[in-house]
Amino acid sequence: MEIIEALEFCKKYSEKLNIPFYELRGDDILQKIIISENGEIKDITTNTEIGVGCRIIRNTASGYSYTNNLSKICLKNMIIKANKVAIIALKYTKKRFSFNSTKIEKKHIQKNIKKHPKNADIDYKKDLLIRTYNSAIEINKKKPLIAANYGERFGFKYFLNSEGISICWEPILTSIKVRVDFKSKGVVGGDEEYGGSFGLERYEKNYSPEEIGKNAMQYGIDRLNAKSTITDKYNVFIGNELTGYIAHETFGHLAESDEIITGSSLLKNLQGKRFASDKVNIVDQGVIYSKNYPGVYLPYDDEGVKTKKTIIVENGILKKKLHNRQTAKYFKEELTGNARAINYKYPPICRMSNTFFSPGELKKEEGMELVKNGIYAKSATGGCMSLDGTFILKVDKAYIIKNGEIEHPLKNIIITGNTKDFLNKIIGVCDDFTVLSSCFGGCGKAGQGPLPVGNGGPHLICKNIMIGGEK
Amino acid sequence: VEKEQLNKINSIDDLISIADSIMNKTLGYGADETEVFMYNSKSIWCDLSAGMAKVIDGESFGVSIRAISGKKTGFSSISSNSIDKINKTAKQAVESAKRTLENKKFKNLAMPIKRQSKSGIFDEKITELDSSFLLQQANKLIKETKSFKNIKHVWGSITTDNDVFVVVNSNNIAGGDKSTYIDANILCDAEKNDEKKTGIEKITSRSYVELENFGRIASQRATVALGSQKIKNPEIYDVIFDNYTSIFLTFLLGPNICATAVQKGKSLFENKINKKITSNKLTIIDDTDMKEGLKTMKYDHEGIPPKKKKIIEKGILKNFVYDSYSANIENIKSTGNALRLHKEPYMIPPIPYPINYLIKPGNKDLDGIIKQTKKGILVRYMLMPGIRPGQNPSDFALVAMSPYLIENYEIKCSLYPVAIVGEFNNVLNNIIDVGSDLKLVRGGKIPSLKIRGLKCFNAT
Repeated sequence: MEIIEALEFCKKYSEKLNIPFYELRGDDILQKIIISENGEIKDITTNTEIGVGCRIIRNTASGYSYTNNLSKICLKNMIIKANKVAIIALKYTKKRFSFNSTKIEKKHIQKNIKKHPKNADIDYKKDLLIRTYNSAIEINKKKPLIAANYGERFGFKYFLNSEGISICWEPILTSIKVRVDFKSKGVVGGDEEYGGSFGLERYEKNYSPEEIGKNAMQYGIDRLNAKSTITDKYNVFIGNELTGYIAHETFGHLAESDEIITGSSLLKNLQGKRFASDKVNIVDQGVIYSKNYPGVYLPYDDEGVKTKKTIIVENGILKKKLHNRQTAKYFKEELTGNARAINYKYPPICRMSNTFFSPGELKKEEGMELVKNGIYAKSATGGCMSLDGTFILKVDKAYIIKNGEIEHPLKNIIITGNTKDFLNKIIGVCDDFTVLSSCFGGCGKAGQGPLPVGNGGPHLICKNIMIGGEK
Repeated sequence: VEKEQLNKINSIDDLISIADSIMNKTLGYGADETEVFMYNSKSIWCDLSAGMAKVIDGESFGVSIRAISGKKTGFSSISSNSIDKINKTAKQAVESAKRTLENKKFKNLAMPIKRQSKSGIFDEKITELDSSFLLQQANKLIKETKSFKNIKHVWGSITTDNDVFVVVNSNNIAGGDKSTYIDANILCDAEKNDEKKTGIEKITSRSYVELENFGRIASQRATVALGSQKIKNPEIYDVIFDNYTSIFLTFLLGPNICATAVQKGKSLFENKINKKITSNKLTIIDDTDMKEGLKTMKYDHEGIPPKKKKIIEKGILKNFVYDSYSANIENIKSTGNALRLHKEPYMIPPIPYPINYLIKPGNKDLDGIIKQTKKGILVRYMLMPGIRPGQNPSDFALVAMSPYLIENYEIKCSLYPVAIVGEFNNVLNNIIDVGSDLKLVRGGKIPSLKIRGLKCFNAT
């Protein structure tokens, strides 16, 4: 049975069982990764994810089941199981509230992609990687290990429910990532990635494989020559990528309403109050209408709700939270379209889509001048946060700034702090803007990861930020 | 393969016979060699957080195919039991192989090796647990927290898994294994004035365990941690990681002892066999015979029986871990360490990785180590990693979420989160004590560790 047929069968069967509220989701997604090392294509891996899931809600209790066996007997078992566990779950549910109502839509949504990866020959994609290598090796012939990967992810996501919503939309993601590793007192390296919900034409027009390769090599060389720094407070110029990490990792998770309902998020009871410096505006948006930086394309969430632009922080004031249909009902707020599941094996939970700082008015040069002496922290390789606002970000591209000029690269530094303190130390926001996404990583929450998200924003200027270094 | 066969997957033998048919089909599509990996998982997850119950109860199946054409490799996977779709996936793997470049280092897919190996525990009782029972248990743990007045928020979840995998290849490999797991977690927040501390208790086991006192233990841990102070900022301390947090060591060692990483020049330990890489306090075995070990398996994910071996002996590096690809490069036998480290293991090709770390215990428990520490920081229960294993492997950074200050050989007070930063090589060379308190975790069995002279500062 094909997915659509399977979902229609499940719908009829759920109605036959008189299930009051059900949701059915189906995935048919293909992900391809091309792996190259030192300019040679080593492997091509293809993953096809096909399956269906069913969520049955009884009051606030949720029962979920899934299968990738699309035989009638297995589909029936899935519905029966989801219904049974929802009834059991109801016994243990104390907080009882229903769903916020949403617009009933029946749509098939497709983003307009000029050069869709499904139509491009594999040799063209292989060539993109070889071009990154040729350009990287041109500026350094010391024979580092250059690993360049190309990723694409596309297909169909289906949603229908007992209210009559019926949505099919086509996710799309492409990315190229290059990592350069040198052997020097251990192994050190740098990387560069460009990706998002766009077609292959962007690798010609916006950020070419040659530039990606060259920049990855430069970051690797920088790391080779990097020096340690003293643990202390610094003025910090924050690059676009790291701004994205901050929006997502240090702030965004706190704004997810399922964490606020539990009472654990730092943002509990702070709506309408000042949370950050007045320079700060943070937004979550499912579809970004930017020619250059579309981030990840999410027209609908996994509850069939149309995504929108949600201004979470406006001029430093905490304005809104990110909702699924249940949390919106609980807080009596409007829907934001932030219920997402990594695939058909999981029910949706509150998740971000594209989360970013809005651009300000400063030119980058003015921002650098404002920092004067401090650290330019461009991007992070990892980060973690706790719901009390404690966070750690491992900065992988960092430089000392002296008299408004970049001086030398730094190694092994971290930014730690508390989200609220940190956001209050932002004294300026630049007018540049990027939002990117990736096929090679994403967000993790409640065992559901990596979920593709879009991160980014402008350069930020922060005062007195705690930076941990080896000295 | 008949459709009916795929709808009735009951045993390893059933799966092997289906995998055999897919293998033959793939050879028919033009592969010179091929490997078929199949995985079936039944899982129940029950969560009771903030008065809301959620249950997931499902079953999934996946197949992956590695195809070899000359010395070229291709990989394709699918989460479906549709015969047409699996055949298409097999074709895709062959086509992918034909489109890659020849890998001169590739010799062949795994060849059979005769070696004694053991399965881990498979507990039928876990397979019989249903969501009703698991929710009841989760509710019991949460009720235990009620008598603690400072506990404000509680999360509890219990998961059971019942998994089976098989792998066959055209070099006469045919093997598989099955496993059961139960995983219980309880977290609670204690609050007083403006301070909030989280307590945790968790267990992962292959066999059923009575979940008594978990709620009480987590509540006590959160409550005791209230009243935090700050340390002098920044300063060098001896740091003791308890047997919950010392797991960081296994995460960071893994990519460095993986033979593929060594061969690519991405390991800190290249050319270091029989050389000192850590303090002489550290001895680590890859204990593939550990029945209770969470990754113990009769065959690895290429169908090779895993071999028990020393990794580090008194600080000297003894062995790397190999899959067949990396072993062939050095003309040695695979150590049976090919693992597909993914929630859905069929979705990725295997890489060499340790099965179960066993860190040789010392002779003092955690209290004994504290009693020999004049000034230090004790990292307990939870930490936030600041590094991604495998990237810039010499870096080391983390935040201890529930640390304690040790002064004059005893715990003085709890601390606000503390950040620790340094170089991983220094961490390894400054392990000055190893606890006797082995704890079973996802990576193996690990004790508390004491590390001399790490840079610490207040994270908030």
